[in-house]
Amino acid sequence: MISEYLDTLQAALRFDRSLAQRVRKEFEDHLRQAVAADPSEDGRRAEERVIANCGDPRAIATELAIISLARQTKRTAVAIVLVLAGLLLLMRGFIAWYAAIQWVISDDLKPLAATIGMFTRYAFWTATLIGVAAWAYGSRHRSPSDYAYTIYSRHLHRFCMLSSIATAALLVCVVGGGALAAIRLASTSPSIAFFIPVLSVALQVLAAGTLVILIRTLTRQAAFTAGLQKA
Amino acid sequence: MLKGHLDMIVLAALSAGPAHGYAVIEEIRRRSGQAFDLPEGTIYPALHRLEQAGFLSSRWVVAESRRQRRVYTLTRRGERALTERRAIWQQFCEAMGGLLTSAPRRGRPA
Repeated sequence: MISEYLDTLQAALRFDRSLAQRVRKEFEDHLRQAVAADPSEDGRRAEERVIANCGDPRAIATELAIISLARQTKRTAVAIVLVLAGLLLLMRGFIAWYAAIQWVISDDLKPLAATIGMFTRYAFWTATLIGVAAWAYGSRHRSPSDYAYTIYSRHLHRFCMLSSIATAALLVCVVGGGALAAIRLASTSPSIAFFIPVLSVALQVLAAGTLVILIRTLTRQAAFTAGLQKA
Repeated sequence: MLKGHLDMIVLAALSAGPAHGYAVIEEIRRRSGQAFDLPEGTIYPALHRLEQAGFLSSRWVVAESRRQRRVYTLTRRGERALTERRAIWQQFCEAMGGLLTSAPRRGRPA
């Protein structure tokens, strides 16, 4: 009986494997200790009583899922700000480095580079504005309790929307940065210095990809929690 | 009503020292004179929420039964939160006590 209870609890939290395992271990220790402390000599009866005292595993899983969702929201909010700050530093460093090694763009590619540069700048500042708004909004709410989930889900929906727009703008910025790096590389002869812009673009892609994964995880977890809440 | 005060109850139970979920429930029962008999599973979301808020820290230990056990400890932040909540609760009790025990005024309304 205890195993069935633990299986139900773990299955309800399967969207977060580490949380599911932690909760299973905690509940297993709790239930076994409670059975051992039960005065009844009938083991099965003791298990029944202990499980009844523990409560509905799906209801417990719902509460734990909401807490995990709040943690994931805050993590994503912080990641957005860190990625934006990292990207800003990378871009500044990149510009300084181009100036230091005096890489010039060929005249025929200059208008294209200027247009891409303008789009990249606008995309970056759009991502920054919306990203900071998403961070402020995501950090504002404390962990919700189950009775406030309907209000929290609205907050979460708005946060996901803001984060998605910021990430989309960031992706435009990363693509623009990549295109600018490609134009500069096309204008110069190959050298060991090529490694720096390639590495920089790879880092930008990695950072933006991490954000996409975090937001996707958050939206999937939100959908899962909403399902648990309705059940 | 009890659920609304669960966080404060858990913090108060852990003020006696580090404990795992089962011991927290036992401590709540003991200190409330068996008056607070919560569904045992409800304690864990509260413990996780308080840990996330930075009021508790936790670590795995191996119990005598050889099973792994998660032990929770009140952090400094948690101690401060408990002190604040105690003060608010004290004020509430005094105000409520004054309201409920004061003699009703007799006479015609003005």
